[in-house]
Amino acid sequence: MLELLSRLFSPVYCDAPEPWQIGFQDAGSPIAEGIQNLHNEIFFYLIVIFVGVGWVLGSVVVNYSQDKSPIVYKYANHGTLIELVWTITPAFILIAIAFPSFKLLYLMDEVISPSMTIKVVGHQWYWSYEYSDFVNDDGESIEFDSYMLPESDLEDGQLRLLDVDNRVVVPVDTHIRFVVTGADVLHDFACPSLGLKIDCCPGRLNQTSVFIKREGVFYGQCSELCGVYHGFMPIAIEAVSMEKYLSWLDSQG
Amino acid sequence: MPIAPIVGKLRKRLITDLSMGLGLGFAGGYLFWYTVHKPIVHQRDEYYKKYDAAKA
Repeated sequence: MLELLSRLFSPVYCDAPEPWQIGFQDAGSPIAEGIQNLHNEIFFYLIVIFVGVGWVLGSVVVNYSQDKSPIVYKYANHGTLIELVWTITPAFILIAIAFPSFKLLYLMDEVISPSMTIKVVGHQWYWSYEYSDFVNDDGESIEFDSYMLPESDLEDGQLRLLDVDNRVVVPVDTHIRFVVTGADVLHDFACPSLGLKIDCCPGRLNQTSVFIKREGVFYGQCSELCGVYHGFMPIAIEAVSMEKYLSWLDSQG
Repeated sequence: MPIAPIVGKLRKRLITDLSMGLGLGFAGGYLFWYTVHKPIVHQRDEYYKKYDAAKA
């Protein structure tokens, strides 16, 4: 009961989905913060419209019933003025919503001078990652596949259907570019708490970027229906400090 | 029974309905803004203040 209450009233969630979660996961990047702020800004207008329309609808039902208003007020039908009002007002509301929305959309599209690039390839049904900027002892770029951990292999604290054998390890406070593609069918590389979501199309390279503000493990899932095991190819991004990241790179030798 | 003429609808209803609907709507909107959105942003900012202080 206490857990349920704390879940309902606390805005804090971890970086993975929780049972019965109704809010966002905690933002881990400026883009995710922007998305959540935009959602709340639009939700403000939504409440105004919902209450305003609800009130007027209730008023019409109560005050213009057959009993109270037996004849139709002539300007309620084909009234040019009222039609202009109810067309132009929503247009202004849409403009008020559109400007912050487009601003965020174009900001998300910017790939600001990335310090490193990770190539992500979606397969049926796992992800493979390639750190093209770094090479191992053999002079080859660092590459690995990332499969979901089966339930039988889970250890305490690991998340069912979300944890993987090889996480994508990235440094915090760094502009990282993801170049994504699909090896076979459409996949989608998504991580809600980082505000990442981009289609992986076979034969095409898409790119997005992320700037992670804090350390942690951020979970996501393939978000484009890609076959029978679509729900079993999760994404786990581990953000670490630069020192830990460099030692991880060393260990990939 | 004679039907009463329609007079003063704008004065009687439209202004009341619009001001009540929009007034309550904006009140609800600001209630959400200050009781849900602002605390989340405040909590997030506080977290990053502590986080940055710990990092420095």
